[in-house]
Amino acid sequence: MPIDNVFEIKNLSTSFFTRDGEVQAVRDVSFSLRRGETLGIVGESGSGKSVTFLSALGLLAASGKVKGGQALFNGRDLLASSAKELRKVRGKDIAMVFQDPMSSLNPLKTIGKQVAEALEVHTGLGRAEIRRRAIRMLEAVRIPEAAKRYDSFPHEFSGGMRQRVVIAMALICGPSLVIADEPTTALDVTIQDQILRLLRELKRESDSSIVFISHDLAVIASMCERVVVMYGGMIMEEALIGELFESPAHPYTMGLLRSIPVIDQDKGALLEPIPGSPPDMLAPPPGCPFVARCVHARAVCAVSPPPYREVSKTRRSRCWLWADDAPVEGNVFKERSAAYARA
Amino acid sequence: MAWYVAKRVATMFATLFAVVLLTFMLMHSIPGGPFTAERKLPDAVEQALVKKYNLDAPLHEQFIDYVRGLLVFDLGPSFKYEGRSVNEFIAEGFPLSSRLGLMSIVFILFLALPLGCVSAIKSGKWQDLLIMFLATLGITIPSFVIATALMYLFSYRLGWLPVFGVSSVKGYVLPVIALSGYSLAFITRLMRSSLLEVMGQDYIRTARAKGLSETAVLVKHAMRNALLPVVTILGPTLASLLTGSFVIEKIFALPGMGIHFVTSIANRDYTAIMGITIFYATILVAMVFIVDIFYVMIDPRIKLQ
Repeated sequence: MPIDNVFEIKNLSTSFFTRDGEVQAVRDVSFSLRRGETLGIVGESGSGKSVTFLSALGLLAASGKVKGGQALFNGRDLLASSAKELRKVRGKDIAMVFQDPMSSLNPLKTIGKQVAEALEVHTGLGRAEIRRRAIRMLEAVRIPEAAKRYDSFPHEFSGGMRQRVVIAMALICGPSLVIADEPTTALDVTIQDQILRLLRELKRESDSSIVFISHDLAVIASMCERVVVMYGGMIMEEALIGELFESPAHPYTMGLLRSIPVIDQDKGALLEPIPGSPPDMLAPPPGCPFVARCVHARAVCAVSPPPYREVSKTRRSRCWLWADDAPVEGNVFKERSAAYARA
Repeated sequence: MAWYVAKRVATMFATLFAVVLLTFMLMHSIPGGPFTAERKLPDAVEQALVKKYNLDAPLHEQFIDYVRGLLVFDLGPSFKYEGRSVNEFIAEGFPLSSRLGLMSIVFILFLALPLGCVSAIKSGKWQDLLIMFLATLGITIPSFVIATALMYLFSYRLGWLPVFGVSSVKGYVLPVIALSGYSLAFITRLMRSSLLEVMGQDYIRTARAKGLSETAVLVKHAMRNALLPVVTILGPTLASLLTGSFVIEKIFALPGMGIHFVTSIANRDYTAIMGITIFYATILVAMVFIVDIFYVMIDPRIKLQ
């Protein structure tokens, strides 16, 4: 394993065992994250984005079980660590920023205390120093009059302010990996923009790696260098952000891109939603999870899962159209490659 | 805070006035009177009694008279027992009933909260199933059955505890357990479901993500949130425990408030019924008031406006 990979997920599978049966939320997911990199994870609700990281950190709900795989943090497998060892990593080396700032703060504790808490757990600093650092952190996330607001309760803050608090809470120990799980989804667009700007500024000031989980490709594009596209608990495609927009290497990504509005688009042009709905993870299709909604589907797609193939040095795709024996005629990817080769 | 308390006290008095008015009206509108007995009194005697207790005056005058008495904490004479006042009934019964009630609430809290927590933490495991089984029994089995069963086992068979009376401390054990049964089971269940709900909240996951241990998550983040519904129910529970239970007092032959209340109804003892009802209402309103103050102290979201 190359040493510059700060975080690496290998063949991770996670299921939730419910009354109705086994929900296979994450199926054989692998990717890695380089030191200082910002990686985007995109996919619709239920695609397994969050569960992948909750699995790695041991934060799954009681019904969730990791069935196999590794989650390597600086070469150490978190899934093989004891609960106690994992606790030492959580909040100190790996921090999470959660989605909903309304519910991810304890309503009965002051925001200052909640921000300071990770320091209390992971450092032996004195009370006064902890308070001083927490206030400095609140200032860093641009909370006005941070010292005064230290003793405020969450309900006295607006949504955007609370999300700043949640970010401060995550960054207080200077983690080397920050997992931001839809940090702007619950906010309106102007506040969303402020928070994204803040995250980019904070990113510039530190050398930590960031995983940015979102269902919004536009948000991912503004934050990340590289992106992993998930669907039905599997990774469909992995690419640099520019490549992904320019030449998506998976039919699902193509569909995603077509459903994004473009500002100087022809007014008559309609957005194209992807028809159909995501697969039932209680009984996922034996082949490609996207097969039922894919316009390029071949017979093989419904039968066996496509291999995860390297398409170029920087990208991989899980699609039967990339297979060596796939027909060239009418094959978007092969025709495109052929065109590149001719040019 | 002072303004809030003042406002709450004002509404308390308004509530109590409504209770007084309602019980007074109800008492005077039901047929029959305190002096209608199976063996009819001679007319002259009955009229003399009616006159003595001012029952021939217009209703509003009687009411004003009654309220005037209430203002100086005089609940009036008993209609049934010559020469005794309702104040005396309460003074006799309340100390014992409230002592039993206080012991019960302490017993309940010391058992129900830990049991509820264990049940929630071990949700689905044998500890949870056992505690929930017992709690369901506690809710479904009436207190008189529990009381007689306890009596049979500990007093009759084993001879450890007295059958009745509270002449020694031992005498309190069985009545307290029997009196607590229902509330103990109810609060255990409430604590369990409340804690389970809180443990599923996002901020609990946030706390875990910070690296807090499970114990720290429970003590520092979950407990206070989970206690809110329990605190709410504590006011009415305490009020009903303090004012005594007819059944328990009857079974263990304890001279408490509950007995007076029930016998006064059978006796058509107007003033005693009204007096004890008003006394009960006062305690209930006071308990709810204390709980509300307590609530403001635990939950910063509640505004004092």
